Amino acid sequence: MLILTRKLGEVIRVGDDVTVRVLEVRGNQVRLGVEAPLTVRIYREEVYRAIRKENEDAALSGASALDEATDAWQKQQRDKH
Amino acid sequence: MAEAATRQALTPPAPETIALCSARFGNYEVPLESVLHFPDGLIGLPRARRFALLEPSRPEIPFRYLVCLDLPELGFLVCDPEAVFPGYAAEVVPAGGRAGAALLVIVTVPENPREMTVNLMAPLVVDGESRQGVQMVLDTGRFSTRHALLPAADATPAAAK
Repeated sequence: MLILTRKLGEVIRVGDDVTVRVLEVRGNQVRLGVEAPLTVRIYREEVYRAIRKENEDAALSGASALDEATDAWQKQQRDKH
Repeated sequence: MAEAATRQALTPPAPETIALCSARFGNYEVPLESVLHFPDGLIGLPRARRFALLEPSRPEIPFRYLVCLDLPELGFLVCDPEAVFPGYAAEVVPAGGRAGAALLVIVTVPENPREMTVNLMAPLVVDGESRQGVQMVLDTGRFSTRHALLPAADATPAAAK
């Protein structure tokens, strides 16, 4: 891992198009400003992981998922009326 | 010479479909113009780029399969968010979604299907004209990856009213 020390307001550049600036340091929190082309997708790591896991779990839903979901949905629609 | 040229012109065009052969979802001929393109894939699945939305056997049901043409055993149960959460689209558009784009949310069906959830944090946004799509991330704290699709199983009909 490359480790760099930066002061408030200083910048790290990743490749030609991406910069990360230290905007604020307060206690154990750091605010960063990332500038990158729109094609570079930026996520907080925990958000990325949660969505990746949900995609994986959803993909594992059996091939019977449509029938199961349909049954549960229809039963709920009936109960509503 | 002229005759040969005419004959060539009459040759039927190559079939404009992609064959989907999936042990899980079945075999289909998917017309090219209905293929959905996700240039970046889905989150965590960068190779899953081309998808087909299978026609529902019962149109009144809001669920459909979205099957990957690149990885034919990969598919998702998806649903129209408006059918289950009216007003969702109106909240997605200002967050960066395009007006007029189609929205789908991915459904996760656990062992007990009554506890199925939808991923409202990362909807699929598909441009109707170009058929290009992206899995968008709504990192606003407003939506969860596991939003219950049905009311709690223990809610009695009386309590639900």
